[in-house]
Amino acid sequence: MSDATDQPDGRDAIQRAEDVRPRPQVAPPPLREAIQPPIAAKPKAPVRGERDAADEAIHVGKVASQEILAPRRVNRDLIGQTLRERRGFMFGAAIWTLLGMVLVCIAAIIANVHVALAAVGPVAVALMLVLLRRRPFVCHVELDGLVFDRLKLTLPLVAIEEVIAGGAKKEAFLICHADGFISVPSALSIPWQAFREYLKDNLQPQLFTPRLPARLQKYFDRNVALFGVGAMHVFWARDHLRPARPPGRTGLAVCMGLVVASVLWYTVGINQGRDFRPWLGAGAGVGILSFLIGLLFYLRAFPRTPRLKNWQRSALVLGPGGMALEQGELVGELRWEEVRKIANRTRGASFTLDSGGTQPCVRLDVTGASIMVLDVYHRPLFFIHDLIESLYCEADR
Amino acid sequence: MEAREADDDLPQLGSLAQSARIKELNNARNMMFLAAVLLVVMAIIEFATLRNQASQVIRQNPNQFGPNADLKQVEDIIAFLGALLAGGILVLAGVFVAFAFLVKKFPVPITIIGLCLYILFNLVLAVLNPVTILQGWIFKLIITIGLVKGIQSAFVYQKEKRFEDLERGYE
Repeated sequence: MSDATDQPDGRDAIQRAEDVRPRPQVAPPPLREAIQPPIAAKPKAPVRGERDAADEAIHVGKVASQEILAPRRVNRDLIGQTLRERRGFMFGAAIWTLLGMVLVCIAAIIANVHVALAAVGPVAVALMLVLLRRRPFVCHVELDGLVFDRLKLTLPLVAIEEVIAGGAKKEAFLICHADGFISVPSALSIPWQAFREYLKDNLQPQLFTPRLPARLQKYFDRNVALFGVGAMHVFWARDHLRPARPPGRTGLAVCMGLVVASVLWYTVGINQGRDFRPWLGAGAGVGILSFLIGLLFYLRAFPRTPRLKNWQRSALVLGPGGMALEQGELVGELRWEEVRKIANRTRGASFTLDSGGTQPCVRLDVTGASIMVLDVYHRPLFFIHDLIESLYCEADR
Repeated sequence: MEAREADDDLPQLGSLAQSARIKELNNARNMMFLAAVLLVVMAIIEFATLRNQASQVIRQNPNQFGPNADLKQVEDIIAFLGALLAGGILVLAGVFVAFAFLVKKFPVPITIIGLCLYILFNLVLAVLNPVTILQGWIFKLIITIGLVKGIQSAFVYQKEKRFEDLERGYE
Protein backbone atom coordinates (compact mmCIF):
# COMPACT_ATOMS: atom_id res chain seq x y z
CA MET A 1 0.00 0.00 0.00
CA SER A 2 2.79 2.30 0.90
CA ASP A 3 5.10 1.65 -2.02
CA ALA A 4 3.60 1.87 -5.47
CA THR A 5 6.12 -0.51 -7.02
CA ASP A 6 5.23 -3.25 -4.57
CA GLN A 7 1.54 -3.02 -5.24
CA PRO A 8 -0.54 -5.17 -7.56
CA ASP A 9 -2.61 -3.59 -10.28
CA GLY A 10 -5.06 -0.95 -9.12
CA ARG A 11 -7.97 -3.01 -10.44
CA ASP A 12 -7.18 -5.60 -7.82
CA ALA A 13 -7.79 -3.02 -5.16
CA ILE A 14 -11.51 -3.34 -5.69
CA GLN A 15 -13.63 -5.40 -3.36
CA ARG A 16 -16.22 -7.09 -5.52
CA ALA A 17 -19.54 -8.64 -4.70
CA GLU A 18 -19.99 -12.33 -4.38
CA ASP A 19 -22.57 -14.84 -3.32
CA VAL A 20 -20.72 -17.93 -2.37
CA ARG A 21 -20.26 -19.60 0.98
CA PRO A 22 -17.88 -21.05 1.89
CA ARG A 23 -15.42 -19.51 -0.49
CA PRO A 24 -14.13 -22.48 -2.39
CA GLN A 25 -10.86 -20.88 -3.29
CA VAL A 26 -8.78 -18.06 -1.98
CA ALA A 27 -8.78 -16.48 -5.41
CA PRO A 28 -11.89 -14.41 -6.26
CA PRO A 29 -14.64 -16.32 -8.09
CA PRO A 30 -15.73 -15.32 -11.62
CA LEU A 31 -18.81 -13.43 -10.37
CA ARG A 32 -16.53 -10.91 -8.77
CA GLU A 33 -14.87 -10.24 -12.11
CA ALA A 34 -18.26 -9.66 -13.74
CA ILE A 35 -19.00 -6.52 -11.78
CA GLN A 36 -15.55 -5.07 -11.90
CA PRO A 37 -15.80 -1.42 -12.91
CA PRO A 38 -14.10 -0.21 -16.08
CA ILE A 39 -11.82 2.26 -14.32
CA ALA A 40 -10.87 2.02 -10.71
CA ALA A 41 -9.09 4.65 -8.76
CA LYS A 42 -6.13 3.27 -6.90
CA PRO A 43 -6.49 3.92 -3.19
CA LYS A 44 -3.89 6.36 -2.06
CA ALA A 45 -1.33 5.09 0.41
CA PRO A 46 -2.49 5.84 3.94
CA VAL A 47 -0.31 8.52 5.44
CA ARG A 48 0.99 8.27 8.97
CA GLY A 49 -1.71 10.55 10.35
CA GLU A 50 -4.44 8.36 8.95
CA ARG A 51 -2.87 5.26 10.44
CA ASP A 52 -2.65 6.92 13.80
CA ALA A 53 -6.28 7.86 13.46
CA ALA A 54 -7.09 4.26 12.68
CA ASP A 55 -5.11 3.18 15.69
CA GLU A 56 -7.23 5.44 17.82
CA ALA A 57 -10.28 3.56 16.49
CA ILE A 58 -11.23 6.45 14.26
CA HIS A 59 -12.22 4.87 11.01
CA VAL A 60 -10.55 6.09 7.92
CA GLY A 61 -13.36 7.10 5.58
CA LYS A 62 -14.29 4.78 2.76
CA VAL A 63 -12.72 5.81 -0.49
CA ALA A 64 -15.87 4.74 -2.30
CA SER A 65 -17.85 7.43 -0.58
CA GLN A 66 -15.27 10.04 -1.50
CA GLU A 67 -14.71 9.12 -5.13
CA ILE A 68 -17.36 9.68 -7.71
CA LEU A 69 -18.32 6.36 -9.19
CA ALA A 70 -21.13 6.21 -11.67
CA PRO A 71 -23.95 3.99 -10.40
CA ARG A 72 -24.39 0.89 -12.54
CA ARG A 73 -28.06 0.20 -11.97
CA VAL A 74 -29.49 -2.39 -14.32
CA ASN A 75 -32.50 -3.75 -12.44
CA ARG A 76 -35.37 -1.53 -11.41
CA ASP A 77 -38.00 -4.21 -10.83
CA LEU A 78 -38.43 -3.74 -7.13
CA ILE A 79 -38.12 0.03 -6.81
CA GLY A 80 -41.06 1.40 -4.83
CA GLN A 81 -42.04 -1.96 -3.39
CA THR A 82 -42.21 -2.85 0.28
CA LEU A 83 -40.95 -6.29 1.16
CA ARG A 84 -42.45 -7.85 4.26
CA GLU A 85 -41.61 -10.99 6.12
CA ARG A 86 -44.34 -13.62 5.95
CA ARG A 87 -44.62 -14.88 9.48
CA GLY A 88 -45.95 -18.27 10.41
CA PHE A 89 -49.01 -19.12 12.46
CA MET A 90 -48.56 -18.56 16.20
CA PHE A 91 -49.05 -22.13 17.37
CA GLY A 92 -47.86 -21.30 20.88
CA ALA A 93 -50.39 -18.51 21.41
CA ALA A 94 -53.14 -20.65 19.85
CA ILE A 95 -52.46 -23.57 22.19
CA TRP A 96 -52.43 -21.35 25.28
CA THR A 97 -55.67 -19.64 24.14
CA LEU A 98 -57.26 -23.03 23.53
CA LEU A 99 -56.24 -24.17 27.01
CA GLY A 100 -57.73 -21.01 28.49
CA MET A 101 -60.97 -21.51 26.55
CA VAL A 102 -61.23 -25.13 27.65
CA LEU A 103 -60.86 -24.06 31.28
CA VAL A 104 -63.51 -21.36 30.82
CA CYS A 105 -65.90 -23.90 29.29
CA ILE A 106 -65.30 -26.36 32.15
CA ALA A 107 -65.87 -23.52 34.63
CA ALA A 108 -69.16 -22.67 32.93
CA ILE A 109 -70.29 -26.30 32.83
CA ILE A 110 -69.53 -27.11 36.45
CA ALA A 111 -70.22 -23.52 37.61
CA ASN A 112 -66.92 -23.23 39.40
CA VAL A 113 -65.31 -19.81 39.70
CA HIS A 114 -61.93 -21.28 40.71
CA VAL A 115 -61.52 -23.03 37.34
CA ALA A 116 -62.44 -19.74 35.65
CA LEU A 117 -59.73 -18.01 37.69
CA ALA A 118 -57.22 -20.66 36.64
CA ALA A 119 -58.08 -19.89 32.98
CA VAL A 120 -56.61 -16.40 33.44
CA GLY A 121 -53.08 -17.91 33.40
CA PRO A 122 -53.12 -19.45 29.88
CA VAL A 123 -55.04 -16.51 28.44
CA ALA A 124 -52.50 -14.03 29.86
CA VAL A 125 -49.63 -16.10 28.47
CA ALA A 126 -51.27 -16.18 25.01
CA LEU A 127 -51.76 -12.41 25.15
CA MET A 128 -48.12 -11.84 26.08
CA LEU A 129 -46.95 -14.15 23.29
CA VAL A 130 -48.87 -12.00 20.80
CA LEU A 131 -47.72 -8.70 22.31
CA LEU A 132 -44.05 -9.66 22.56
CA ARG A 133 -43.81 -11.16 19.09
CA ARG A 134 -40.75 -9.99 17.18
CA ARG A 135 -41.49 -7.24 14.71
CA PRO A 136 -41.37 -8.54 11.14
CA PHE A 137 -38.67 -7.71 8.65
CA VAL A 138 -39.89 -4.83 6.48
CA CYS A 139 -37.80 -3.31 3.74
CA HIS A 140 -38.80 -0.42 1.48
CA VAL A 141 -36.95 -0.52 -1.80
CA GLU A 142 -36.26 3.03 -2.89
CA LEU A 143 -34.52 4.46 -5.91
CA ASP A 144 -31.14 4.79 -4.26
CA GLY A 145 -31.31 2.49 -1.32
CA LEU A 146 -33.15 0.29 1.12
CA VAL A 147 -35.02 1.41 4.21
CA PHE A 148 -35.30 -1.15 7.00
CA ASP A 149 -38.14 -0.41 9.41
CA ARG A 150 -37.20 -2.70 12.29
CA LEU A 151 -33.57 -1.66 12.28
CA LYS A 152 -34.39 2.01 11.62
CA LEU A 153 -31.68 1.95 9.01
CA THR A 154 -31.41 3.48 5.57
CA LEU A 155 -28.83 1.72 3.47
CA PRO A 156 -27.81 3.37 0.19
CA LEU A 157 -27.29 0.92 -2.67
CA VAL A 158 -23.74 2.19 -3.12
CA ALA A 159 -22.97 1.15 0.45
CA ILE A 160 -23.84 -2.51 -0.14
CA GLU A 161 -20.59 -4.39 -0.50
CA GLU A 162 -21.76 -7.92 -1.09
CA VAL A 163 -24.62 -10.36 -0.69
CA ILE A 164 -23.77 -13.65 0.95
CA ALA A 165 -25.74 -16.79 1.73
CA GLY A 166 -27.32 -16.96 5.17
CA GLY A 167 -26.02 -19.12 7.95
CA ALA A 168 -29.29 -20.11 9.62
CA LYS A 169 -32.26 -22.08 8.30
CA LYS A 170 -34.66 -19.15 8.15
CA GLU A 171 -32.00 -16.74 6.90
CA ALA A 172 -32.05 -16.46 3.10
CA PHE A 173 -29.04 -14.21 2.70
CA LEU A 174 -27.13 -11.39 4.31
CA ILE A 175 -26.72 -7.90 2.95
CA CYS A 176 -23.19 -6.85 3.86
CA HIS A 177 -22.00 -3.29 4.14
CA ALA A 178 -18.96 -1.61 5.65
CA ASP A 179 -20.55 -1.27 9.10
CA GLY A 180 -22.03 -4.75 9.42
CA PHE A 181 -24.64 -6.98 7.82
CA ILE A 182 -28.43 -7.33 7.66
CA SER A 183 -30.14 -10.69 7.74
CA VAL A 184 -32.93 -11.22 5.19
CA PRO A 185 -35.48 -13.94 6.07
CA SER A 186 -36.38 -16.55 3.49
CA ALA A 187 -40.15 -16.07 3.92
CA LEU A 188 -40.73 -12.73 2.19
CA SER A 189 -43.77 -11.28 0.43
CA ILE A 190 -41.87 -11.90 -2.83
CA PRO A 191 -39.47 -14.78 -3.54
CA TRP A 192 -36.25 -13.96 -1.74
CA GLN A 193 -34.32 -14.98 -4.86
CA ALA A 194 -35.85 -12.01 -6.69
CA PHE A 195 -34.72 -9.64 -3.97
CA ARG A 196 -31.23 -11.12 -4.03
CA GLU A 197 -31.07 -10.81 -7.83
CA TYR A 198 -32.16 -7.18 -7.57
CA LEU A 199 -29.40 -6.46 -5.08
CA LYS A 200 -26.79 -8.35 -7.07
CA ASP A 201 -27.73 -6.47 -10.23
CA ASN A 202 -27.45 -3.18 -8.44
CA LEU A 203 -24.23 -3.77 -6.56
CA GLN A 204 -21.89 -0.90 -7.02
CA PRO A 205 -18.13 -1.29 -7.29
CA GLN A 206 -16.48 -0.78 -3.95
CA LEU A 207 -13.03 0.56 -3.41
CA PHE A 208 -11.25 -1.51 -0.83
CA THR A 209 -10.10 0.58 2.09
CA PRO A 210 -9.55 -1.60 5.14
CA ARG A 211 -10.10 -0.02 8.51
CA LEU A 212 -7.06 -1.31 10.24
CA PRO A 213 -5.04 -0.29 13.25
CA ALA A 214 -1.47 0.72 12.36
CA ARG A 215 0.09 -2.55 13.49
CA LEU A 216 -2.21 -4.68 11.39
CA GLN A 217 -1.85 -2.29 8.47
CA LYS A 218 1.83 -3.13 8.32
CA TYR A 219 1.05 -6.87 8.26
CA PHE A 220 -1.60 -6.27 5.60
CA ASP A 221 0.79 -4.25 3.41
CA ARG A 222 3.47 -6.90 3.69
CA ASN A 223 1.07 -9.68 2.72
CA VAL A 224 -0.48 -7.67 -0.11
CA ALA A 225 3.01 -7.31 -1.57
CA LEU A 226 3.45 -11.09 -1.33
CA PHE A 227 0.02 -12.42 -2.35
CA GLY A 228 -1.89 -9.48 -3.84
CA VAL A 229 -4.98 -7.66 -2.54
CA GLY A 230 -7.37 -10.28 -3.92
CA ALA A 231 -5.98 -12.93 -1.62
CA MET A 232 -6.26 -10.85 1.54
CA HIS A 233 -9.42 -10.57 3.66
CA VAL A 234 -9.92 -7.85 6.22
CA PHE A 235 -12.56 -7.64 8.94
CA TRP A 236 -13.14 -4.80 11.33
CA ALA A 237 -15.56 -4.22 14.20
CA ARG A 238 -19.15 -3.62 13.11
CA ASP A 239 -21.13 -0.66 14.38
CA HIS A 240 -23.80 -2.49 16.32
CA LEU A 241 -23.63 -5.91 17.86
CA ARG A 242 -26.48 -8.35 17.56
CA PRO A 243 -27.50 -10.23 20.68
CA ALA A 244 -24.81 -12.77 21.47
CA ARG A 245 -27.48 -15.31 22.37
CA PRO A 246 -30.84 -16.20 20.87
CA PRO A 247 -33.48 -13.79 22.16
CA GLY A 248 -35.65 -16.27 24.10
CA ARG A 249 -38.75 -14.15 23.65
CA THR A 250 -41.13 -17.08 24.06
CA GLY A 251 -39.83 -17.90 27.52
CA LEU A 252 -39.97 -14.25 28.50
CA ALA A 253 -43.57 -13.94 27.24
CA VAL A 254 -44.70 -17.05 29.16
CA CYS A 255 -43.13 -15.74 32.37
CA MET A 256 -44.62 -12.27 31.91
CA GLY A 257 -48.06 -13.77 31.28
CA LEU A 258 -47.79 -15.83 34.46
CA VAL A 259 -46.65 -12.77 36.45
CA VAL A 260 -49.71 -10.83 35.20
CA ALA A 261 -52.01 -13.73 36.08
CA SER A 262 -50.39 -14.15 39.49
CA VAL A 263 -51.06 -10.48 40.34
CA LEU A 264 -54.75 -11.10 39.68
CA TRP A 265 -54.72 -14.35 41.69
CA TYR A 266 -52.96 -12.63 44.59
CA THR A 267 -55.47 -9.74 44.58
CA VAL A 268 -58.41 -12.15 44.52
CA GLY A 269 -56.82 -14.17 47.34
CA ILE A 270 -56.51 -11.07 49.53
CA ASN A 271 -59.87 -9.47 48.84
CA GLN A 272 -62.32 -12.35 48.40
CA GLY A 273 -62.88 -14.17 51.67
CA ARG A 274 -61.61 -17.46 53.03
CA ASP A 275 -62.73 -19.58 50.03
CA PHE A 276 -60.28 -17.77 47.80
CA ARG A 277 -57.37 -17.80 50.30
CA PRO A 278 -55.46 -20.57 48.34
CA TRP A 279 -55.18 -18.11 45.43
CA LEU A 280 -53.06 -15.88 47.67
CA GLY A 281 -50.38 -18.57 47.98
CA ALA A 282 -50.69 -19.62 44.34
CA GLY A 283 -50.38 -15.98 43.21
CA ALA A 284 -47.35 -15.31 45.38
CA GLY A 285 -45.59 -18.57 44.47
CA VAL A 286 -46.21 -18.47 40.73
CA GLY A 287 -45.50 -14.72 40.63
CA ILE A 288 -42.11 -14.91 42.37
CA LEU A 289 -40.99 -17.98 40.43
CA SER A 290 -42.11 -16.56 37.07
CA PHE A 291 -40.46 -13.24 37.84
CA LEU A 292 -37.12 -14.88 38.63
CA ILE A 293 -37.19 -17.18 35.59
CA GLY A 294 -38.40 -14.27 33.44
CA LEU A 295 -35.46 -12.21 34.67
CA LEU A 296 -33.10 -14.93 33.45
CA PHE A 297 -34.81 -14.97 30.05
CA TYR A 298 -34.62 -11.18 29.91
CA LEU A 299 -30.89 -11.23 30.66
CA ARG A 300 -30.42 -13.84 27.95
CA ALA A 301 -32.46 -11.82 25.49
CA PHE A 302 -30.70 -8.55 26.29
CA PRO A 303 -28.22 -7.60 23.58
CA ARG A 304 -24.87 -8.09 25.26
CA THR A 305 -21.71 -6.41 24.13
CA PRO A 306 -18.71 -8.69 24.54
CA ARG A 307 -16.70 -8.32 27.72
CA LEU A 308 -13.81 -7.05 25.69
CA LYS A 309 -11.84 -3.87 26.15
CA ASN A 310 -12.11 -1.56 23.13
CA TRP A 311 -14.02 -4.08 21.04
CA GLN A 312 -14.65 -1.27 18.57
CA ARG A 313 -10.94 -1.33 17.72
CA SER A 314 -10.91 -5.03 16.87
CA ALA A 315 -9.61 -6.02 13.45
CA LEU A 316 -8.73 -9.25 11.73
CA VAL A 317 -6.60 -9.86 8.64
CA LEU A 318 -6.68 -13.24 6.91
CA GLY A 319 -4.40 -14.31 4.11
CA PRO A 320 -2.76 -17.37 2.57
CA GLY A 321 0.21 -17.05 4.91
CA GLY A 322 -1.70 -16.71 8.15
CA MET A 323 -3.70 -14.20 10.10
CA ALA A 324 -3.23 -11.11 12.21
CA LEU A 325 -5.58 -10.10 14.97
CA GLU A 326 -6.12 -7.19 17.31
CA GLN A 327 -8.94 -8.00 19.74
CA GLY A 328 -8.68 -6.76 23.29
CA GLU A 329 -5.57 -8.26 24.87
CA LEU A 330 -4.96 -10.52 21.89
CA VAL A 331 -2.63 -8.83 19.44
CA GLY A 332 -0.28 -10.49 17.00
CA GLU A 333 0.20 -12.53 13.87
CA LEU A 334 -0.16 -16.25 13.43
CA ARG A 335 1.06 -18.64 10.75
CA TRP A 336 -1.33 -21.39 9.67
CA GLU A 337 1.32 -23.99 10.58
CA GLU A 338 0.90 -23.00 14.22
CA VAL A 339 -2.82 -23.83 14.26
CA ARG A 340 -3.72 -27.29 15.47
CA LYS A 341 -7.52 -27.20 15.37
CA ILE A 342 -10.29 -24.84 14.24
CA ALA A 343 -13.80 -24.91 15.68
CA ASN A 344 -16.86 -22.75 15.14
CA ARG A 345 -18.54 -22.38 18.52
CA THR A 346 -21.85 -20.84 17.54
CA ARG A 347 -23.36 -21.12 21.01
CA GLY A 348 -20.36 -20.53 23.23
CA ALA A 349 -19.54 -22.63 26.26
CA SER A 350 -21.76 -22.34 29.33
CA PHE A 351 -18.72 -21.83 31.54
CA THR A 352 -15.05 -21.17 30.87
CA LEU A 353 -12.23 -19.65 32.90
CA ASP A 354 -11.92 -17.02 30.19
CA SER A 355 -15.06 -14.88 29.72
CA GLY A 356 -14.47 -14.86 25.95
CA GLY A 357 -15.19 -18.57 25.79
CA THR A 358 -18.80 -18.14 26.86
CA GLN A 359 -19.55 -16.14 23.72
CA PRO A 360 -19.95 -17.44 20.19
CA CYS A 361 -16.53 -17.53 18.60
CA VAL A 362 -14.21 -19.20 16.14
CA ARG A 363 -11.75 -21.05 18.29
CA LEU A 364 -8.24 -21.69 17.02
CA ASP A 365 -6.17 -24.04 19.14
CA VAL A 366 -2.44 -23.52 19.19
CA THR A 367 0.06 -25.31 21.43
CA GLY A 368 -0.59 -24.21 25.01
CA ALA A 369 -3.46 -21.81 24.32
CA SER A 370 -6.64 -21.06 22.39
CA ILE A 371 -7.37 -18.00 20.30
CA MET A 372 -11.02 -16.94 20.22
CA VAL A 373 -12.16 -14.80 17.32
CA LEU A 374 -15.32 -13.21 18.72
CA ASP A 375 -18.49 -12.20 16.91
CA VAL A 376 -17.71 -8.49 16.69
CA TYR A 377 -16.71 -8.12 13.05
CA HIS A 378 -18.49 -6.61 10.07
CA ARG A 379 -19.06 -10.05 8.58
CA PRO A 380 -20.86 -12.95 10.30
CA LEU A 381 -18.88 -15.45 12.32
CA PHE A 382 -19.76 -18.44 10.10
CA PHE A 383 -18.36 -16.55 7.13
CA ILE A 384 -15.09 -15.85 8.98
CA HIS A 385 -14.93 -19.47 10.14
CA ASP A 386 -15.40 -20.83 6.61
CA LEU A 387 -12.76 -18.48 5.31
CA ILE A 388 -10.26 -19.40 8.02
CA GLU A 389 -10.87 -23.07 7.41
CA SER A 390 -10.46 -22.79 3.64
CA LEU A 391 -7.23 -20.77 4.03
CA TYR A 392 -5.96 -23.24 6.62
CA CYS A 393 -6.71 -26.22 4.35
CA GLU A 394 -5.12 -24.44 1.42
CA ALA A 395 -1.96 -23.81 3.44
CA ASP A 396 -2.00 -27.40 4.70
CA ARG A 397 -1.98 -28.69 1.13
CA MET B 1 10.50 5.51 -0.02
CA GLU B 2 9.04 7.84 2.57
CA ALA B 3 6.03 5.61 2.90
CA ARG B 4 8.32 2.61 3.41
CA GLU B 5 10.19 4.48 6.14
CA ALA B 6 6.87 5.35 7.73
CA ASP B 7 6.03 1.62 7.57
CA ASP B 8 9.21 0.77 9.43
CA ASP B 9 8.30 3.25 12.16
CA LEU B 10 5.10 1.35 12.88
CA PRO B 11 5.12 -0.92 15.93
CA GLN B 12 6.01 -4.57 15.25
CA LEU B 13 3.33 -7.21 15.47
CA GLY B 14 4.30 -10.01 17.84
CA SER B 15 3.17 -13.61 17.91
CA LEU B 16 -0.56 -14.10 18.34
CA ALA B 17 0.00 -17.53 19.88
CA GLN B 18 2.30 -16.00 22.50
CA SER B 19 -0.31 -13.32 23.13
CA ALA B 20 -2.89 -16.07 23.74
CA ARG B 21 -0.48 -17.86 26.09
CA ILE B 22 0.05 -14.63 28.03
CA LYS B 23 -3.74 -14.48 28.35
CA GLU B 24 -3.71 -18.00 29.80
CA LEU B 25 -0.98 -16.91 32.21
CA ASN B 26 -3.17 -13.96 33.16
CA ASN B 27 -5.90 -16.46 33.95
CA ALA B 28 -3.46 -18.40 36.14
CA ARG B 29 -2.54 -15.12 37.85
CA ASN B 30 -6.22 -14.40 38.49
CA MET B 31 -6.62 -17.90 39.96
CA MET B 32 -3.74 -17.17 42.34
CA PHE B 33 -5.40 -13.91 43.40
CA LEU B 34 -8.66 -15.81 43.89
CA ALA B 35 -6.88 -18.43 45.99
CA ALA B 36 -5.28 -15.67 48.07
CA VAL B 37 -8.63 -13.94 48.66
CA LEU B 38 -10.28 -17.23 49.69
CA LEU B 39 -7.40 -17.99 52.05
CA VAL B 40 -7.65 -14.54 53.65
CA VAL B 41 -11.39 -15.03 54.15
CA MET B 42 -10.71 -18.45 55.66
CA ALA B 43 -8.07 -17.00 58.01
CA ILE B 44 -10.40 -14.19 59.14
CA ILE B 45 -13.17 -16.70 59.89
CA GLU B 46 -10.64 -18.86 61.74
CA PHE B 47 -9.46 -15.90 63.86
CA ALA B 48 -13.01 -14.78 64.60
CA THR B 49 -14.19 -18.20 65.77
CA LEU B 50 -11.04 -19.40 67.60
CA ARG B 51 -12.49 -19.31 71.12
CA ASN B 52 -15.79 -20.87 70.07
CA GLN B 53 -14.02 -23.67 68.24
CA ALA B 54 -11.74 -24.35 71.22
CA SER B 55 -14.62 -24.54 73.68
CA GLN B 56 -16.57 -26.71 71.22
CA VAL B 57 -13.65 -29.14 71.03
CA ILE B 58 -13.57 -29.35 74.84
CA ARG B 59 -17.33 -29.81 75.04
CA GLN B 60 -17.33 -32.55 72.42
CA ASN B 61 -14.46 -34.47 74.08
CA PRO B 62 -15.05 -34.05 77.84
CA ASN B 63 -13.19 -37.23 78.88
CA GLN B 64 -10.10 -36.69 76.76
CA PHE B 65 -8.51 -34.12 79.09
CA GLY B 66 -8.83 -35.95 82.40
CA PRO B 67 -10.74 -34.92 85.54
CA ASN B 68 -8.04 -32.60 86.92
CA ALA B 69 -7.16 -30.79 83.70
CA ASP B 70 -7.39 -27.02 83.67
CA LEU B 71 -9.96 -26.59 80.90
CA LYS B 72 -9.24 -22.88 80.59
CA GLN B 73 -5.60 -23.66 79.91
CA VAL B 74 -6.53 -26.38 77.40
CA GLU B 75 -8.82 -23.91 75.64
CA ASP B 76 -5.99 -21.39 75.47
CA ILE B 77 -3.64 -23.98 73.97
CA ILE B 78 -6.22 -25.02 71.36
CA ALA B 79 -6.90 -21.35 70.55
CA PHE B 80 -3.15 -20.74 70.20
CA LEU B 81 -2.81 -23.67 67.80
CA GLY B 82 -5.78 -22.37 65.84
CA ALA B 83 -4.18 -18.93 65.70
CA LEU B 84 -0.98 -20.50 64.41
CA LEU B 85 -2.94 -22.28 61.69
CA ALA B 86 -4.78 -19.07 60.74
CA GLY B 87 -1.45 -17.22 60.66
CA GLY B 88 -0.04 -19.92 58.37
CA ILE B 89 -3.04 -19.50 56.07
CA LEU B 90 -2.42 -15.74 55.93
CA VAL B 91 1.25 -16.32 55.07
CA LEU B 92 0.18 -18.73 52.30
CA ALA B 93 -2.22 -16.08 50.97
CA GLY B 94 0.71 -13.64 50.88
CA VAL B 95 2.78 -16.21 48.99
CA PHE B 96 0.00 -16.58 46.40
CA VAL B 97 -0.18 -12.80 45.96
CA ALA B 98 3.58 -12.69 45.42
CA PHE B 99 3.31 -15.58 42.96
CA ALA B 100 0.56 -13.77 41.07
CA PHE B 101 2.87 -10.80 40.55
CA LEU B 102 5.81 -13.00 39.51
CA VAL B 103 4.00 -15.47 37.25
CA LYS B 104 4.81 -13.66 34.01
CA LYS B 105 8.48 -13.36 34.93
CA PHE B 106 9.02 -16.98 35.93
CA PRO B 107 5.98 -18.73 34.44
CA VAL B 108 6.99 -22.38 34.74
CA PRO B 109 8.35 -22.53 38.31
CA ILE B 110 5.69 -20.21 39.71
CA THR B 111 2.72 -22.07 38.21
CA ILE B 112 4.10 -25.46 39.25
CA ILE B 113 4.95 -24.37 42.81
CA GLY B 114 1.60 -22.54 43.06
CA LEU B 115 -0.36 -25.64 42.10
CA CYS B 116 1.69 -27.92 44.38
CA LEU B 117 1.25 -25.55 47.33
CA TYR B 118 -2.47 -25.28 46.73
CA ILE B 119 -2.97 -29.06 46.52
CA LEU B 120 -0.71 -29.67 49.53
CA PHE B 121 -2.56 -27.09 51.62
CA ASN B 122 -5.91 -28.69 50.80
CA LEU B 123 -4.54 -32.14 51.63
CA VAL B 124 -3.29 -30.90 55.03
CA LEU B 125 -6.70 -29.36 55.72
CA ALA B 126 -8.39 -32.61 54.68
CA VAL B 127 -6.20 -34.57 57.08
CA LEU B 128 -7.01 -32.17 59.93
CA ASN B 129 -10.71 -32.07 59.11
CA PRO B 130 -12.06 -34.32 56.31
CA VAL B 131 -15.20 -32.17 55.97
CA THR B 132 -13.09 -29.39 54.37
CA ILE B 133 -12.67 -31.47 51.19
CA LEU B 134 -16.22 -30.61 50.18
CA GLN B 135 -16.18 -27.02 51.44
CA GLY B 136 -16.03 -24.62 48.48
CA TRP B 137 -15.29 -27.46 46.06
CA ILE B 138 -16.33 -25.38 43.05
CA PHE B 139 -13.70 -22.74 43.84
CA LYS B 140 -11.11 -25.42 44.48
CA LEU B 141 -11.88 -27.05 41.13
CA ILE B 142 -11.77 -23.75 39.24
CA ILE B 143 -8.45 -22.76 40.83
CA THR B 144 -6.89 -26.17 40.18
CA ILE B 145 -8.01 -26.23 36.53
CA GLY B 146 -6.80 -22.64 36.04
CA LEU B 147 -3.39 -23.48 37.47
CA VAL B 148 -3.06 -26.71 35.45
CA LYS B 149 -3.90 -24.83 32.24
CA GLY B 150 -1.43 -22.16 33.32
CA ILE B 151 1.34 -24.77 33.59
CA GLN B 152 0.60 -26.04 30.06
CA SER B 153 0.78 -22.53 28.66
CA ALA B 154 3.79 -21.59 30.76
CA PHE B 155 5.92 -24.41 29.34
CA VAL B 156 5.22 -23.45 25.71
CA TYR B 157 5.41 -19.72 26.45
CA GLN B 158 8.85 -20.03 28.05
CA LYS B 159 10.14 -22.25 25.25
CA GLU B 160 8.93 -19.86 22.54
CA LYS B 161 10.27 -16.88 24.42
CA ARG B 162 13.70 -18.49 24.58
CA PHE B 163 13.59 -18.99 20.78
CA GLU B 164 12.55 -15.37 20.29
CA ASP B 165 15.40 -14.16 22.50
CA LEU B 166 17.86 -16.33 20.59
CA GLU B 167 16.57 -14.97 17.28
CA ARG B 168 16.93 -11.44 18.56
CA GLY B 169 20.46 -12.25 19.70
CA TYR B 170 21.43 -13.48 16.22
CA GLU B 171 19.96 -10.37 14.60
